[in-house]
Amino acid sequence: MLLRIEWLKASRRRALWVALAAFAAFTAVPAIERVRSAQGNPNAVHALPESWPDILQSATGLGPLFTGVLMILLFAPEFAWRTARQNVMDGLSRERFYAGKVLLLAGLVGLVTATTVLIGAGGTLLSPGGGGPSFIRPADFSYMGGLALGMLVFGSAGMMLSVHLRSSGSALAILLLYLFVEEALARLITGT
Amino acid sequence: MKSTPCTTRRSSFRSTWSRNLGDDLAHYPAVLAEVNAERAQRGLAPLSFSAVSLLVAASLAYSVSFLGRAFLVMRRRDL
Repeated sequence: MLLRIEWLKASRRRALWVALAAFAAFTAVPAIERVRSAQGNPNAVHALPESWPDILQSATGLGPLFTGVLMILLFAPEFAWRTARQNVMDGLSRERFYAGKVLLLAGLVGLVTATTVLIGAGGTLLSPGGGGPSFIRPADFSYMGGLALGMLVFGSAGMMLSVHLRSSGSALAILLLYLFVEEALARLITGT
Repeated sequence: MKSTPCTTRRSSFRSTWSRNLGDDLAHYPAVLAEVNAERAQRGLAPLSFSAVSLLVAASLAYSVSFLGRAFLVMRRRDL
């Protein structure tokens, strides 16, 4: 029931599909590069399971960012549009409303991971040459777990910002400002 | 771009966190097993998996604290 409510609300938001399409485009660019490189160079192999780390690595920076942004875009407007208030007035407890948002977060993590995996795996189908005997190795599942955990951290941060600021503009501004500051600090510390 | 197991890169920064986590979770056990096999031959004590476990625990702790904070604020404030 909660899942159905969240799906109804999320699937009608254009922001979800636009952001997901943008993420898919960003993930597809390195996949296309790898396929072209494999087609042009017989020594360059782009096949599964060997290419899983490369496929997943292309989403390690953008995946968590998009999860946080999507969480804000889908959750924060509920306060401005009074849909959160309406849901509670219609009989949903605050706890269940919150549980619905946690389900939404889990769904977003799954959706972004699935997009990465599908685009990456799809790219290997277009690539010449074969890989090892198995489709996926235990180490690749661990890599996916690490990626999902990174998305969970940023998604939960997006959820917290949404509840605190109750405006998608302010929450996005804070998240992006933090990322700019973080990037600058990282460059300062690593000296790059 | 080949990913490499790395136990010295430690950062809480977004750009490297997720990658480190994935790299380490994927490759650290195998590298650690090799190192521990060598250490066992030399009669040294085995090294533990604590560095990666710590990163995973920190990530989970961050998530739980963010979600907990969101829950408390949602219960306290008017919708």
